Amino acid sequence: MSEFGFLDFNLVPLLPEVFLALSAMGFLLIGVSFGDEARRVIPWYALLALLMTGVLVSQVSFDDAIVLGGMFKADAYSGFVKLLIIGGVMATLGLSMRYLEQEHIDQMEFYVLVLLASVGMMFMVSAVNLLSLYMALELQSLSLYVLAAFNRQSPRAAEAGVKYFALGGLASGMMLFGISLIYGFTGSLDFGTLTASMMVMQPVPFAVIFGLVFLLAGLAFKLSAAPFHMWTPDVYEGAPTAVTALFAMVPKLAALALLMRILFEPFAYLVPQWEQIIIFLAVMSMIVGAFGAIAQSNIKRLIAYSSIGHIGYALIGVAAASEGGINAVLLHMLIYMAMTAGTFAVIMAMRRGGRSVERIDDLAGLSRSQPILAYALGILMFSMAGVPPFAGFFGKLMIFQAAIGAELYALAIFGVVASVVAAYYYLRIVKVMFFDEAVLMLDLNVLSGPQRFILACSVAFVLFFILSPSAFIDSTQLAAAALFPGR
Amino acid sequence: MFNETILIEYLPILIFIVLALGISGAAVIGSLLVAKQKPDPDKNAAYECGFDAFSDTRGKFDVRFYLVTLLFIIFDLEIAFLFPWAISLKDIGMFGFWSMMAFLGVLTVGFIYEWKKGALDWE
Amino acid sequence: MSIDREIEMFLAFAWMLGHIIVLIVGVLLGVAYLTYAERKVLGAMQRRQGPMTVGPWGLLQPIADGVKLFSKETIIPSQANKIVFLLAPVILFALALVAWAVIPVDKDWVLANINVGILYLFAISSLGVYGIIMAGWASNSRYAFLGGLRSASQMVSYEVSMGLIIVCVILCTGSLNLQEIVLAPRPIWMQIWLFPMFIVFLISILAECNRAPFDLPEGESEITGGFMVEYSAMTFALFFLGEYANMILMSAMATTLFLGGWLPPFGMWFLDFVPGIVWFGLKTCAILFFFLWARATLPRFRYDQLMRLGWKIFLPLTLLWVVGTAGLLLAFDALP
Repeated sequence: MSEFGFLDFNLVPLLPEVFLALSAMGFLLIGVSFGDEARRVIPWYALLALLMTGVLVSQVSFDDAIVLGGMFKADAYSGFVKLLIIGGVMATLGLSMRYLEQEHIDQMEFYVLVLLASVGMMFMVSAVNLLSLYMALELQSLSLYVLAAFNRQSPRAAEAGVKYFALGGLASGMMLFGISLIYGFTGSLDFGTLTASMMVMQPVPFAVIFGLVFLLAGLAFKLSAAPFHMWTPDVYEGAPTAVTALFAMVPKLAALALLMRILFEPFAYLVPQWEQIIIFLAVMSMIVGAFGAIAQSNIKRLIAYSSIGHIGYALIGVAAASEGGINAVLLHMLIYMAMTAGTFAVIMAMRRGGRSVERIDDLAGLSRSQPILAYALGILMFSMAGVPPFAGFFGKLMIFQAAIGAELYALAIFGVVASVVAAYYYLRIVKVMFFDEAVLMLDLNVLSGPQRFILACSVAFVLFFILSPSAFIDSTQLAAAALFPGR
Repeated sequence: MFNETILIEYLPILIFIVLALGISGAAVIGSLLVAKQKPDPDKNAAYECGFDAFSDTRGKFDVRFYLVTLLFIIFDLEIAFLFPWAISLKDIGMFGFWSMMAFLGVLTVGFIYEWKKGALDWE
Repeated sequence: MSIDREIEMFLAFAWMLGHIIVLIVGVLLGVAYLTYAERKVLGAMQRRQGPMTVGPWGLLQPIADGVKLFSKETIIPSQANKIVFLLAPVILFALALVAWAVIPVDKDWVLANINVGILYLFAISSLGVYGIIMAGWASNSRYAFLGGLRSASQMVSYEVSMGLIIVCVILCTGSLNLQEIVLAPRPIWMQIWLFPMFIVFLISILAECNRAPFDLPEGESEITGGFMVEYSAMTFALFFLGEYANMILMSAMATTLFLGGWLPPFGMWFLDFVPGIVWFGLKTCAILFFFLWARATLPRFRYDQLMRLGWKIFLPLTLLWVVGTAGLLLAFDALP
């Protein structure tokens, strides 16, 4: 009956995404039908749905398969990143539940939007067609735009949302322009076909490189890599802290994974062309991340600059253009996510008189009032700065090793210098906590069970990573190898 | 060849549009020329209940008009998808049918959400 | 190029121009006598006589009205955006005219037999909203602004269900060409299945034309005429003409989609000797009578009722009907 070749229509590799999307829609309906009763259970349902999705991912997403007519690819790389995404989102939800109640914005739409953003990010990681890539990216972005403005009572959240939306729309436009150029000059949107045509077309038309530059610019915006980072501090500061935690952890990982797939699959033959762009982005991000944060007094803005800097380090690994480089990037992002989750647990603990406070000075005297919290944040900050023996050190180490392996000596040295500069502001937080006199005390016992649990896990990870780093490095290696089949 | 025949089919429409715009424009301009025009400030003031308008009209208005517009865009796009689907349903068969049902299903979820949230209620 | 070919082309062009002029004159006459018919019908329903003074039985009344409106002063409010203000009625009326290009009034009697006729019709009728928004905005008067907004939301709301109904019809006929839609075979069960959609379509076109009982945009008692409040003389006349031309257009559309266009009713082949255009005209008039009848008998809706009907009843119903139509046709392998 059908003359179209849809008979091999296979949904199995899509199961996790389909399941998560259906759950999100189901929660939307449940939430809107049952109102307040549903509000208490939906966070737990959402966590459960994510857990099930994670199980599904581990079952089906690691086997190589290309489905949906060449739009969607499952392999070890996408499977690993998807697990990381789900882990990050679960951590965010664990952190958010109490915070949203405290801020009186605990509506079920938050969870639905987070789940939908996760679906978008999971599709991003698996996209092997510029069209599905764009669709996935938009699903993720649109959900995040709304989340940024989720606190409707706060003018600053509205500002963050509008800013994010306007600049994000611009970035999407640039990306689409780049995609259309690439499509126009190669006649295909499919990664496989693009790879083949890049191999044949030598030299590659200038317009294709031009299109690639626009594509990278759009992605760099989503990554908040300098010089496309301008939105980051404002959005991080204005958005509710729960949303900032999500922004800091997950979308960047998804965008980075997407970037690596684009660079190493269809544009693998253009390494000399894109390497310069990536190096430029990396250097700029490290400079902005290191020097921008120094003058900040708001801790969320500081984290924003810190995340820009960390993306800079990750881009060094991308510029290395080797399996070792990808391995290092994945490990770095894994460690960065773990550290960020803990950091945000502490930021959410910063409340005074029932209201959330965000200034770094508000942390003064924390070592005396709540020593456990202070030591936890201290460890996390040392790790962020890359001080051995904490986990953060190993991520950076592997990245610099990859850079040296690719003979990018200058870049590696620059990275080291930047992390030394960045160490200054991380250690400043430690100094404020341990040596400054408190004017006013922070509230005690703010954190809920899940928040404490996440903080504990994060600190434990950072502390004990050194005992068995191979447990993590092995899995990142497997994932990285999937991007380099037969090479 | 294909393109030419398509375009020739539309030529009468183009001429028709020009003629229709011409006739209605001519009617307005003709009336402006023929009738005696005696404007004065009071006559030309905006219509109000016997006083001068307090302020410019273009201020805030009910947000529900925006909602209706947004809903309309969503559903009109859906209809734009439905037209080609309806014509080619014979060729795409069951697969086409269920694909569209999945699409409609997602839209329906959004529609139910709007309904329950009261976006469709006036007063 | 030979002389013969040139003459041929000239003749074709002249025929086309003639066709257009016949269409325009036809629509204008139709509009003129629709206003007359409206007053007569309303009069009869209220046991009055309607216009009787100008000409025999008042037959020249529409002409007199036209001359009067043409010779009045055009008031342009000082606060208005003058160009947009004058452009709005022009656009509205021109749109109501050009939609006629694709309507087949008899077999092969159509100006442009394009293959996406119904899409063209749908597109042109949606553009009407622009005329209204322009008028409401450019007038810069509160009543006009509110009327324009109301009218636009109302038209837009009912357009959705109209679109879905059209999808139902083209699922059954398998073509976007209006002639083929008319000629497509329609077994009895299909007519019965589509009948509820015909009813919904009739109600929707009432709303789409801003006619009673959905004439809230004018709502004399609250917003004194809506988006038309600042218009006078010929600009007002064009709105008026446009509204009535739209009524005829929508009736013709309903005739084409549901009532078999120019074909004799109920497949009565022995009536074939009557020219198709007569049947087309009669069917259209029947629907126009429905318009007038509704105005004479039904009180005006409230705005919330109007929106409720459009979004909460018609939209789900028509959407379900689309799904049902497609499912039935697939299940019984009856797709055209």
